[in-house]
Amino acid sequence: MARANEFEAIVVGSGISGGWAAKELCEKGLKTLVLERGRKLDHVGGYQTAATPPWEFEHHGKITRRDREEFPIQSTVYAFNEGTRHLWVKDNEQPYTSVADGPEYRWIRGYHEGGRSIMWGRQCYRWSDLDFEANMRDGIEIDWPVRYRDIAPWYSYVEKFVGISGQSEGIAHLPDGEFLPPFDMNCVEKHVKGAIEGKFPGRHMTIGRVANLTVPHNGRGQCQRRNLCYRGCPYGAFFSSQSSTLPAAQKTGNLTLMTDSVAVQLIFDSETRKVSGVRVVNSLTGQETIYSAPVIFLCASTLNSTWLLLNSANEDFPDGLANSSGSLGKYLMDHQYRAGAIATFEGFEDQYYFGGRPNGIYIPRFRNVTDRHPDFIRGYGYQGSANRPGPERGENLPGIGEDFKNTLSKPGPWQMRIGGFGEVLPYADNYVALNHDKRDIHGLPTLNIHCLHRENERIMREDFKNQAAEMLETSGGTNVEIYDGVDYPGFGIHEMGTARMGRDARTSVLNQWNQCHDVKNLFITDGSCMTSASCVNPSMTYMALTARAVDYAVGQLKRMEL
Amino acid sequence: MDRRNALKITGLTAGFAGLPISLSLLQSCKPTGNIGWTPSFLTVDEALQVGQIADIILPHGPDSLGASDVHVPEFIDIIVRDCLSIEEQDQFRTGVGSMENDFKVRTGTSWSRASDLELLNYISKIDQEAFEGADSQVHWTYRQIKSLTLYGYYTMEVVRKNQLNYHSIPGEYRGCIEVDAEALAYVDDNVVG
Repeated sequence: MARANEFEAIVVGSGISGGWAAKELCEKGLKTLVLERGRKLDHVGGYQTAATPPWEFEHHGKITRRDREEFPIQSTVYAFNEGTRHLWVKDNEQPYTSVADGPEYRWIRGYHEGGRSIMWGRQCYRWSDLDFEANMRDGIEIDWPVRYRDIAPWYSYVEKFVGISGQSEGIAHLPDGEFLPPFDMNCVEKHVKGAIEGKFPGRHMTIGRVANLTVPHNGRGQCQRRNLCYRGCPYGAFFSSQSSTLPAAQKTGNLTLMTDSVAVQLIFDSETRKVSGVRVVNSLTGQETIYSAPVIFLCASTLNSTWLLLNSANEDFPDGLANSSGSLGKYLMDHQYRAGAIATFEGFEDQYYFGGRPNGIYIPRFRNVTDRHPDFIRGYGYQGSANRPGPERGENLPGIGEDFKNTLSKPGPWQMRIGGFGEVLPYADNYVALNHDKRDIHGLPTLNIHCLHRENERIMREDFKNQAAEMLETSGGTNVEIYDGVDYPGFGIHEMGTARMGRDARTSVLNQWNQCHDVKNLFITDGSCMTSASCVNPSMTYMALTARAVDYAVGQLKRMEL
Repeated sequence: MDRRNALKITGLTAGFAGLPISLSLLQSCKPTGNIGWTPSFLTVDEALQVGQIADIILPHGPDSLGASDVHVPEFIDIIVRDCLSIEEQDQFRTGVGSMENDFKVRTGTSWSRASDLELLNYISKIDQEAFEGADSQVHWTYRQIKSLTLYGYYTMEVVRKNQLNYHSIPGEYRGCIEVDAEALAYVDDNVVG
């Protein structure tokens, strides 16, 4: 009979990666403990604002002064409002620092069961060998230890469970997947798609591939087009840990999920060269407990998994557990965005749409695919959408009185916006380190983050702004305007790297199975494992890598090789 | 949605950092006008003035409600109280006072004695100037009131349900539908913050 604190596997984190690790480990028969640092958040019952109309919020959704004080970083996120504020970390309770000579790093977090799988953008795209071979072809940093053919079956495996709506396009560098029926484009989007594909050889526009169900799937309801995803979906119509992986894990009878449980240290056995357990602090009581298992998966999010390794330094690994390479904490990446173009489209005044679509359009990368851009390497894709603004547009229009009111009650002129998501290169001096001078509420050291986008990113950004404007203009858009918000590192909420995969234990933390070179029973399958950043949204790849790593780990366990 | 909301128009409530906080916060309410409700932040005079401006922007009409009908002045009082920074609150107060002074300078009449027509003409002029690039505290404050008036009005239940094409659970998305010039703007329960 196992002791209460002993399990067959431990997963740190219950977000997108942790949920997948839990499901796969439990379904393979392992008694699995999932440690979640945040509070319990029940599916459906925990989505307290899921059906709240604007007028029932005291401020009709607006961010308050108190919000800006309690959530100085999080309240700047596009999805933060009075209906979602309870899902974000209070920054002052979970401190970190950005190094003084660099830009502010915006670390966007949700500490609760399910993590950011409740508030994510749900974009799901496969990476390709354009991404996995990128470092090798450019001769920078290290090569990925995997190729698309290694991951492709695992993409299929997770897609079939998640439910991805999308359109097959046959684009080699944005591989098709196991798609549910796509959402519709509206008429201006269709027009722009036709214009771009007709006038720019090699460029495509497709409907966004998203983890929102266009038809019922695996017992979950289909999307009701309410446009309220970020509050949690009571229909389970988008993929989250709560709606999907955690119930599957629960169903096996093998899952133990502990919330309010902060993993603070990994226990390393110097003789076996393995981790034997996790030291956990209950964030409500402060009580410490050690839980043990023969295999441990870190899925705590890029920066928190790396923090845990750094905070687990010992005599064998004085610079952080599993860090014989010295690469732990380095090569922090993100996607740069918040820049693009917007234009007005005339001639579609008798066309409109109905319903709130949970996605937009996607323009896959076209730079440095078959040609070579003279000024920068890698590339970018675009997300965007066309719409007719509602009455809120009136704040930027002259006019008062009855006529003005009548005008605003009608849909506004069509506009279309496309914004770039650009690849950020891996740099050794974009890094995180422990800050022993600034402690959290448990007295633990925090992270000091140094991250800076550089020349390749700056030049690429100019190109994606200009190309956005050119494509809209060529499509017949008028009043074409380029926009460019401040590019804060981290604000893409695609933080990647700091415990990268590689073939060589001297230059990477993880091998091709997301297994630590130095500690064979320790796996890391969240964004920290990424060797390069691509320009393609990463969550789908975390899911595929996680399922693949569990399959490998359990195989090794059964062969007694861990 | 995708990330289109990332492109938020800021500025209207950006305030003027660095200006000192005046003692106007400590002003007491002067019980002059009769507004029929008790403001929690604005003085009664300020609430009256803001309400008059809101009703000029969105008046009671033959087929639709006006700003005061749906309690937009009360909404603005709460937003100014809770959502503006202390500096922005101070600027708002000062701006409302500046409009009162500006009105007197331009018309020779005090705001409290102005006729509805005089106020309408004044706000028409300020609106026009504000969107032709005029950049004074009067115009900034006017635009802030206009923005809050529109936001409050169009997020009220009765307005959304009766004057817009509101759907809480549309159930489907249709990308291309034919509409005529009378079609109402589609809205749902989303809020932008």
